[in-house]
Amino acid sequence: MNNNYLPKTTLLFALILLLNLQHLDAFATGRSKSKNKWFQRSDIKGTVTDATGLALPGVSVSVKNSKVSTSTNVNGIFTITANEGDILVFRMVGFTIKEVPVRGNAAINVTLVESTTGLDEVVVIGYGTQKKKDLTGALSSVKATDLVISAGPEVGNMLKGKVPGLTIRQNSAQPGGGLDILVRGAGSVNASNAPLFVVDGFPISDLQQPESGGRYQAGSQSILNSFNPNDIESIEVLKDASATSIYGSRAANGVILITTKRGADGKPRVEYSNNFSLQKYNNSFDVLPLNEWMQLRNQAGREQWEFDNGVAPYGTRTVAEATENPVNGLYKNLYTQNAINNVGRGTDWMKLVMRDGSTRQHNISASGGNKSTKYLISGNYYDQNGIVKNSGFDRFSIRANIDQEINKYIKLGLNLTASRIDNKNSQLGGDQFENSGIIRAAIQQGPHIQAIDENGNYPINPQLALQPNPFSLLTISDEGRIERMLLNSFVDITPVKDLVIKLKGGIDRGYTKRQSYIPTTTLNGALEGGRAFVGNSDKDDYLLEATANYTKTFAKAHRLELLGGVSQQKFINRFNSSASTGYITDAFLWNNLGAGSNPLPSTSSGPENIIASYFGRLNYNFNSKYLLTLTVRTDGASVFAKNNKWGTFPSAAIAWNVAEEPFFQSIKNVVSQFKVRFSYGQTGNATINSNAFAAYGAYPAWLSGADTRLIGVSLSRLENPDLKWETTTGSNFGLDYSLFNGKVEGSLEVYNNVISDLLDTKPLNSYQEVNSIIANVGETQSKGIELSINTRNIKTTNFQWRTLFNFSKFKTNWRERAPDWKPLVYQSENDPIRSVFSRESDGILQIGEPVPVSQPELKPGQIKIKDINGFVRDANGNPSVDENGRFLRTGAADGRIDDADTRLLGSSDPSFMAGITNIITYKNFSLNFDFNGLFGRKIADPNFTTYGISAYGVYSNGYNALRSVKDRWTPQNPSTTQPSSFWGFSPYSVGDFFLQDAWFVRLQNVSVGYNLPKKWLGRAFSAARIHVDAQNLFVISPYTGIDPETDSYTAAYPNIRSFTAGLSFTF
Amino acid sequence: MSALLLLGSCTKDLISLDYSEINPNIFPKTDADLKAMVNAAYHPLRGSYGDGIHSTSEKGVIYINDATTEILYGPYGDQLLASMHNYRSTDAAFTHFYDDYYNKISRMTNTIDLITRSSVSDELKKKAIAEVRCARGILAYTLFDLYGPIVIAPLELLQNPLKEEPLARLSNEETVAFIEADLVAASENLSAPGEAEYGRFNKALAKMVQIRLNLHEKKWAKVLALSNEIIAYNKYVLDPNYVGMWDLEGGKNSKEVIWAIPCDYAGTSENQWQLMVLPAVFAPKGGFGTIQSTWYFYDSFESTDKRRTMLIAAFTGTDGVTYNRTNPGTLINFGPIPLKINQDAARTTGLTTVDIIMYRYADVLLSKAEAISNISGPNQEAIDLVNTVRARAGLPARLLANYNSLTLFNDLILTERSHEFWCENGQYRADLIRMGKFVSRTQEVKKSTFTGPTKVLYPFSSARISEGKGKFIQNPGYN
Repeated sequence: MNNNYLPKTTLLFALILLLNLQHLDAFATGRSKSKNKWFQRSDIKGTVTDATGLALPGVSVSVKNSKVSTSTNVNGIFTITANEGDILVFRMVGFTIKEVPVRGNAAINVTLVESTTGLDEVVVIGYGTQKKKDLTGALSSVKATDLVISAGPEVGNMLKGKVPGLTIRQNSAQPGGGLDILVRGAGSVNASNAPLFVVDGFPISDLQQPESGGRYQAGSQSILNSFNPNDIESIEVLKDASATSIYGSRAANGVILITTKRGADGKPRVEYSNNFSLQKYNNSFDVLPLNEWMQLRNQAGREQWEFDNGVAPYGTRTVAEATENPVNGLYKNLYTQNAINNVGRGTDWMKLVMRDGSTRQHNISASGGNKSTKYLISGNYYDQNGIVKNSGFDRFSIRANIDQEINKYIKLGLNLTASRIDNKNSQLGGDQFENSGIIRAAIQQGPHIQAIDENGNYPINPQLALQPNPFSLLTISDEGRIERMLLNSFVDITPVKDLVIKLKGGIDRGYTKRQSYIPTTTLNGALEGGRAFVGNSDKDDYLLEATANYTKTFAKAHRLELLGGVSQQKFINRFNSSASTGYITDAFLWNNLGAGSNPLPSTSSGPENIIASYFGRLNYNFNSKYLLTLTVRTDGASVFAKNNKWGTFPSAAIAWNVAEEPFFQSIKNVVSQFKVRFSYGQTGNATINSNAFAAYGAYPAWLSGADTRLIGVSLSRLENPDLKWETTTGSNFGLDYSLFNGKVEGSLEVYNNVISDLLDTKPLNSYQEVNSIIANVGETQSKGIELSINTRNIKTTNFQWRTLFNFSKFKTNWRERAPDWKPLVYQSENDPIRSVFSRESDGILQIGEPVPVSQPELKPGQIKIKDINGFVRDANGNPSVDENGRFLRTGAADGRIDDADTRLLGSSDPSFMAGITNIITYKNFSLNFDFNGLFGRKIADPNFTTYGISAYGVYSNGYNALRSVKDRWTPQNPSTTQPSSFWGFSPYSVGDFFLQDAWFVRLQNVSVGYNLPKKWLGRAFSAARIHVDAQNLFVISPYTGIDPETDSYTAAYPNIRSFTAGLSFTF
Repeated sequence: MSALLLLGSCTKDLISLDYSEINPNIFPKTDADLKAMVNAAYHPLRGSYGDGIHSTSEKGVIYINDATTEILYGPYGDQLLASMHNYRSTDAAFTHFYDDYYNKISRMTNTIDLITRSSVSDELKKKAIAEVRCARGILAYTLFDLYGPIVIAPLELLQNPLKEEPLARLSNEETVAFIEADLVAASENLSAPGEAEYGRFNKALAKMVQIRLNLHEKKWAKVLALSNEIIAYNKYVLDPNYVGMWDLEGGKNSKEVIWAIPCDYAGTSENQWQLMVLPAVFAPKGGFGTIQSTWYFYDSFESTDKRRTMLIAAFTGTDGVTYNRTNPGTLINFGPIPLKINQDAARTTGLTTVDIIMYRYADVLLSKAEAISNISGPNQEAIDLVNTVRARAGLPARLLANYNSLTLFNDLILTERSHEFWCENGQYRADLIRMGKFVSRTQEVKKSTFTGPTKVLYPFSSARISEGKGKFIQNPGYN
């Protein structure tokens, strides 16, 4: 392959397009010249309304067999120049096409009839489009018009609860924060479970800011941040093998197709919208003020002394005995009551580092065109200040879609997205102690420490010499940048009727950068004399594709569609970083690495990979009654070893549209669609983040006497010559229905996926130098059901109400383990993939209660564990094994707590999920609100377990704690729900004690809009709208922590309410 | 259509490239490759929180082993478990030494094989193999000391890594023979003391570790012979300045050090001792204060003993409070601060440039004294050796008349060893075990109810037991 070919192609395409733009000018001039001739014809005026008499704006009106066209304005009025006898064609999505002949210059008032169902709707499938009613695979489509687009910087969050089978869980509530997106669960164990995202035909890759190499993390970012939601026309989620196998080896986790808006015939249309959001910080972390903290510290110190001295109930001694002969001196209160009464509330760290968040967004787009040239250009500016000070997200993006018809044989097109995201990073992440992020640091810093002293220094807790002052962390500069330029150009050639050849070339160029400086105002900066870091990664994905599409209808009833194609995508990554410490001034930030007296080791790496593919599809359609789809894709990937480079992924689907049968005609007005589908096929997964080849790694291994680094080399990866694709073999049964003239529609899907040859890091004998290898081991199975119901509840002239409901459920279990699997005693063959194993807790040991035989060291206030099982043991007391070398359990208590007492609690996957959206319009008002929920899940509140129970750190380290710590077990307050400060000292673990139900239903979005009456608008605008929205207004959940969705680690970025107001104008 | 053809022609060989790795087809070929492989053998013996067994943190053998003796007491965490002998098979702090490091023995076995088959000169091969075998001997001895007999995988199995084969632990004799063979071979071909670079292995070190192995096995004649061989090199003397050996460049300049691990602020090999022992309020620069010594240990020194200098029994903190034995706060309530090494106030991170001294000549002298008294009973030669070591500490000579039984003499040696080698290489635990005092000392000093005869060995993790499929037997007391 000639490496230079790809960029050259792209350039060539761009050049052709440029020429086209000139042609566009010429065309426009030509048109105005000939206008005089048409002037003699008459200008026809008219109004287009719907069946209820409501004016229809945006209806395309054209003169049949000519290039003359226009569209209706916001009042449904059009003006067009035509001759007597011409035929005007009225077109509008969702309505049946109407043709009306011109008679003289009389006004033509037209009523368009709405197509009864959404069945004529066209949806996007891989490498093409299809009528919704002719689908054979499992596909869900979401129109952007049904989403609350102002809700955030990216579309992923807006899709929550909108698509059955699509699980979206936000993993960070920070601006632009990351999402875990799963299509139909997650059956892969080690390989990625993320779906393939395809934007206008280009499979895109995830861009994240580089790691800073320092101690603070920047959190995560959504893969969709580069794409302005306002540009999106529709999102299609491909789910079963029939729908996805056209994407072969990357399709096993589903495919999400994002299609952007394109220009349409008619006069230029300019839209401008803006909105402003406010996030009011609501003090999610309720930490103690100084006076209460001092009181608590006194109590905690006393408890500690009694615990250490074995005073009853912790031991057998009395206070007098312990005082007589103390283990570590006598206890004296740290603060007098007088001091506590007069001290005030101390430093409110949370208030110092948190703030109200805000968002500004401006969006402008211009679109238009004529029969041969269509364009859409849009620009977006999005600026968010997060609720943690210093956290922010700024995005500029532009998008241009151009379609040009050269002649009846050749069409050209271009899609371009260019976006730049500037992330202002605050210090996030789940690290602890001296590496704590800013939220965690602010929770744990005692209120007795000053935020800043009179000399401008940031005092630290003297008991925690290495933990920085949280307020000082705000002086850190940490910026990330994510730039993406996605250029996708195509030529459609129609050499003969019914055959379209599409040549496509594109590049997805991602450049990410991270620059940080830890100044000497922070503790760590002071120790190192400032630390500057610069890192960047450069990702170039080249795509080259050719497809041929042949469509033919025989004998009016047999429609055949054939698609064949080849594709190649090449991934070139380059990463490098450098850093240094020891600066004479903080003023350089990261702009003068050479001025650091201590350069740190630089890093760089550069992997290159390639995927090549051949694919084909056959669609056969008999009268829209019997449908057949056959698909195959063959992929070759460079990451695999020589024996298995290529994999082939076929699928087949059949569908029967029962409602089209004659025997159904009698009830056709009740059941307009009743289609059953079945598909079976295979898809693959190749995301191993590595390759199958042996390699030696080089690293600093030893120091010389003069402290020079000596480099060592040893084996770092073993070769697996047989490594191959992970294969998902799936069957899907589907049912599409449409009842009561489209009032109720939807689908039901039942599926069963078996994922075999799982790509996993297989443990070898642990004595091996490299004791794991990427291998194909075992099988898993995902089974699930998905249901969607869309209803048009009310539909009158002034009032319309639609409801979209969906439900899904899946279960993913192991089916077959590796042949040499070495289970722990509590694991079994068919466990859920994401198993939760735990010992069983049995409440809190109370004073006077006998200590369980199995837990002789348990102290009152600690958590009891149930002794439910034991190992089968040999004569020497060693656990014995069966013929497979696996350990056995007796099934009865054995007086000790060990692995045998651990049991399977279930899966960390939710047991089902659901979403409901309501869209209501009344005259000029509109209301859109949606709920989504995850059910059947349990989590432990990480903030509670870390800061809400034990007062141990309050006394010993001067940490702060959450208010709930006051309810802990003490000898005077023998709680049955909250253990003592010393719960973590139990050697028996705490079992499932802290797990709580964490199902939730969230009111994700509410949007109220009002279209300003035309009479207010004057001549400047054709439409204007104002709206107010709220996101995350409330959550219904038994969970007692901050948020059941985003509490994935201690002090996670809190997910709070957001209110938005916005305006939009159309010119 | 041309694109179709183009694609067809470019998909024949799909090759992944990663320019940051080394392809096995080009390695190992040169002398430099050989050196790099030898360096890799040193790698697990570094001090490093993540992957160096001689880390001076709770992740390393020095800290954890000394915490099981009267030298250290940890009020919480893994160090508390060590202090009270309350470790179990679920405590990764005690099982991870085996899990993390025993396959590095296999790496060294593979390395020796690769070197043997490489095309460099025999002279280079001999030197390189000697260093790798010395590393393997040291690592295997360290694990043997912690866990008793271990698994040693034979080369045939290592060359076929995809084949599953659970292995049983070797017998005690086999393990000892394996370690001894490595160290003997190493001592033949390594550079002589004085010729080897500072920080690299030499003949004397290979013999010193053999001494430790033979002490462990109570093979006194071998201990005596090996001690005499090291003495005969005539390269080592006791450093007149005991405390100075742990100055910033102390180890490098001392004629007493047999082997030290070079450390630096920027890491690769890390020493973080100050961070571990200094309280947060210690001036001018504090640390985590994770561990203290014991007052029992402090009181066991004679008051003029120079070796007690760095046991900090009183200091004034940055909070203005003077902490001492009567006002210990929670900082020195169990014992003094076991600083041992220069506090290196200029350190910028948690790391210091003071090197980790692993073996010193004083150990040779005390080992020889112990060997003599065990072979022929306490005699003047033996007590003279002890007195040589005491004299350097500024202490008067002991009289043979007062230590004329083996028990008394052993007690003397044990005490001297604790005073001489506290917070150095973690071998005092082995001394206590050899003298039969490991359990009783812990009961006496720490009032532990968790200790017992089975605690002389650390437990293996349940992962090793599961993997062993019944062939791999846990140490007694941990099932």
